[in-house]
Amino acid sequence: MKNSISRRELLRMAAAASLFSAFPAGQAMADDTEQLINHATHFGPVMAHVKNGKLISTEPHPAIGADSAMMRSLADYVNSPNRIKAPCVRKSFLEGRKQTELRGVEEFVEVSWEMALDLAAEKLKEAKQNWGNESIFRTSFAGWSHAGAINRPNTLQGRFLGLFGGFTDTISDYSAGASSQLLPYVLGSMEVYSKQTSYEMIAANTKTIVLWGMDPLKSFRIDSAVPDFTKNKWYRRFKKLGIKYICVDPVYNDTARELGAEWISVRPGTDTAMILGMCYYLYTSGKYSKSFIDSCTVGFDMFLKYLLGKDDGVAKTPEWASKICGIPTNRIISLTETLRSDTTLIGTLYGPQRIEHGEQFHWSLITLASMLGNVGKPGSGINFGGGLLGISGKMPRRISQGRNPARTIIPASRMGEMLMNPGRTIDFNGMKITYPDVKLIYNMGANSMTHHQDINALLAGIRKVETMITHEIVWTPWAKHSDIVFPETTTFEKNDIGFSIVNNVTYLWAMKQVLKPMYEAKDDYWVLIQLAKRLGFEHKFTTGKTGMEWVKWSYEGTENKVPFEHFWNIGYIKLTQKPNDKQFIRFEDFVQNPKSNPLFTPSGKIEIHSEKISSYGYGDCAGHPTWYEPKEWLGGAMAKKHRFHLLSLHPKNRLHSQMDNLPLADEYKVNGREPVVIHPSDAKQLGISDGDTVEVFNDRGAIICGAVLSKRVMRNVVRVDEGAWYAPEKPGVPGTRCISGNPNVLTSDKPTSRLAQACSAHSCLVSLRKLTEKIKPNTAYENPVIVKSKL
Amino acid sequence: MPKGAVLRKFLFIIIPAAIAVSVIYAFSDSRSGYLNKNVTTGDVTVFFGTEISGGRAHLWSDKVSGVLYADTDKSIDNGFTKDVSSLRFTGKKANGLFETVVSLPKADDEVSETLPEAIKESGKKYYEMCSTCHAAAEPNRYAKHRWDGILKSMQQHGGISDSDLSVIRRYVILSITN
Repeated sequence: MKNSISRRELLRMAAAASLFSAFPAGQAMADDTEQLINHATHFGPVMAHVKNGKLISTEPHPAIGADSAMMRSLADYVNSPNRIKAPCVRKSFLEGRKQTELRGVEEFVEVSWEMALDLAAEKLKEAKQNWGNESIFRTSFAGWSHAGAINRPNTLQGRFLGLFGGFTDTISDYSAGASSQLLPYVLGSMEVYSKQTSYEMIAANTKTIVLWGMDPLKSFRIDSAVPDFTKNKWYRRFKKLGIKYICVDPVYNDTARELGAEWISVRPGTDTAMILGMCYYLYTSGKYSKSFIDSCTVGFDMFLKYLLGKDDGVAKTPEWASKICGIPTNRIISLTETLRSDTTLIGTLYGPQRIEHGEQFHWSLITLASMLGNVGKPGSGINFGGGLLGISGKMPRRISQGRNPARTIIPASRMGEMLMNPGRTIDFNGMKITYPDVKLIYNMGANSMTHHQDINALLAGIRKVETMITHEIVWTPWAKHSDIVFPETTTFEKNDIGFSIVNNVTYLWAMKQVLKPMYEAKDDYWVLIQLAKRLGFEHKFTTGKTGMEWVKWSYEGTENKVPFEHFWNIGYIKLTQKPNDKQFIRFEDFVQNPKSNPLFTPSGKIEIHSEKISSYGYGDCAGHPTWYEPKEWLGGAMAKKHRFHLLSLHPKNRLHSQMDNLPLADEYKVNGREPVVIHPSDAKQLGISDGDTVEVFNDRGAIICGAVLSKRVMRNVVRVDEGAWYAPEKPGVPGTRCISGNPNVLTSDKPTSRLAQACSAHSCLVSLRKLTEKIKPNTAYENPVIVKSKL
Repeated sequence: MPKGAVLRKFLFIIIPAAIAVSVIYAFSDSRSGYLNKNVTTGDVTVFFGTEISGGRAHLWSDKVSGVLYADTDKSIDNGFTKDVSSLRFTGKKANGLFETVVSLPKADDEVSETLPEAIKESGKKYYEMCSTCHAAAEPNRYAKHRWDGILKSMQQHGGISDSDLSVIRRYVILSITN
């Protein structure tokens, strides 16, 4: 694969781009000469090569000077043989028989748009009339399937269903569900999505960066908006500037390897114990910052009682921590000494909090940073999330969802539990939530069969649902398990506006339509208009605007002086970062004057002990950072039965499940299945060699993977990346093995705690065995049988 | 007394009294409720959502900052004055605050009968601007101080101007019922 573009090539592409941009997209679609058209995606901005109305290839946009295999695979994505070509309805469903057990098993019938829309409208009305709007559940919450401001499936769907009278919605997310619920109590904001200290300040002041469960060079290859790869460039630049990296992680990840980080291999799910050991050392050695604790925090005394073992008789010493986390005591202490330097920055993303009691990770890390007294300083302290969404200034406008009259909500990762337990009341963040009885699931822009934990439980749950409507581009596992399937256009088949963000908006992208909708595919917006027409609120949904009028409206929200037509013609606008953004230091104002610039916590300070959380009386989330022994971890009783800890990390060459079906996957799949990475010493004990077919299993299910031996995972830890399409060995049979290697067949849907009720995918124990018998080839990328009809 | 004089005297008393009563009635009937927009009178601005009675808003001032609070708990700012010395105080005092009464000029279309009606437009702004990435949370979901943190951080994400944020915050805080 080509990894870089020459300067000459960049200039050639830019010239071609500007030349083409004078022509309307419609002309290119009909032209038999190759054209270059500007577009932008979650994988990055690209130039699309189009000929005879077909997308031939894509190249990274010359403006950004970065490359990735994913950006070059987008033509495969558009031209995939898995494209859904026409509206389809599951056979039994069409014939009026529910037979939900046949979902994912039986054939589909191709029907006309009119018939599919009539049927979907009828089922929506039926659900509303018979069971109320709360019986309608939408799975689309995050917006990771389309990078534009206008055509985001989650917002379009929220708007549509809100106008229909409402729906059961999700709150929080799978990514950072524990921290985003906890941190408002501790820091007064969600923090993980907040603006962080600028990269310029880090470059100028930091000497050491601790990558704590963080793989930024992988994670920042994609973005919830359009990645411009600035963040990746910064991490590489830091290395050139001489900044040292330390990786605290059960996996020696890609960033660590590329940047030559020192590896501290922590046992999965035990970071909190390790951090508490560091806190203990700081306190008992008298090396903690009493002045910072006194001026900027509350509740240290309460925490101290726990830390010193006054409450439970267990002092959280480095020796105690070492036994839990597996890191030698002297290394825990030496790392603490490194952190005492005011030039060491602790960076982390969300992975370490996707565990049982995941709330404790960020809370204990903040407590440690407070004891170090480094918060609010330019080169040190904490950096949560890499400033993923920290934006100031004018962004393109986005369509609003409006109000959801139904008001029923569930925490995002509770879908399976909700489906199986209608009427059950759970605690959530100081509230009580009662699960509705969901009768209709409306899915757009999401593939829950991949990102939801415990897929076998989810499959049992959806059997209880009367109707499943899905908009989808390709035959994903979720689409295959649906009743009514609408073929959706790709991003390249519609116009939109995209933007890149790094502390502020850095680019505006004209996401030009580069080809006509393929087959019978339609935009989500069009489909929802047709349904709204049938349900009587078309004008409220559209306000009379066409898709392109919304795009123009969106651009005008930026208040950019460049006229829209000119922006659309030139394809993109690069914006200048404000000097203030470059000098931004997270928490600087607060630390300099806590009284004048209080945090939005009840006390106005960092809450090491939260009276509010304490008042909830949750046994699994006390008022201060606490080590709770998880049910599934290598130091627990269950490890005697299943001796490996499974980490289902985000993949490098897909976005969750997007692109799993493309030729790009051939570069990393083993015998057509998802790899399981095993330490060579563990593999040797099990008689497993590189390339062997392996069953990974536990009490929740089993998956078939291909073995990859690597010392980049700890002993007793295995890695199977999230995102492989689910493929049942025996379709329709509960508990059957997944022959594609989807790790969420094995993960638990146990919530982090009663506080956040968040995803705990990384608390998962499994066993491994080498397979010698012949296994059915992976069927994940086979389309369902589709019967043609005249309906 | 001549009959005509009695009649004149009667009319002299009755007619002005009737006019006064009808004016007071009309005035008081239309001037009690909740402001549905910010209203400025002299140096004082009273914010939408403020309860008024008989055309007057009862507010609390510390006599220093110019902020006019809804109550002595400072639960929400209901107004602001550029000149504290221009305020008329009632003599009531609590928690270091002094009650002041602000008379508002007559304008029927500035007053709604109920609080939900008065903050309806600001609610539209909230749901319009705060549901573009995720669904907008119901105001009752969080306590006031939590909302302050959420709104401050979300201002960055949503590119919301200071003036819009001020309206949204006011809507959310006034909508909290438990």
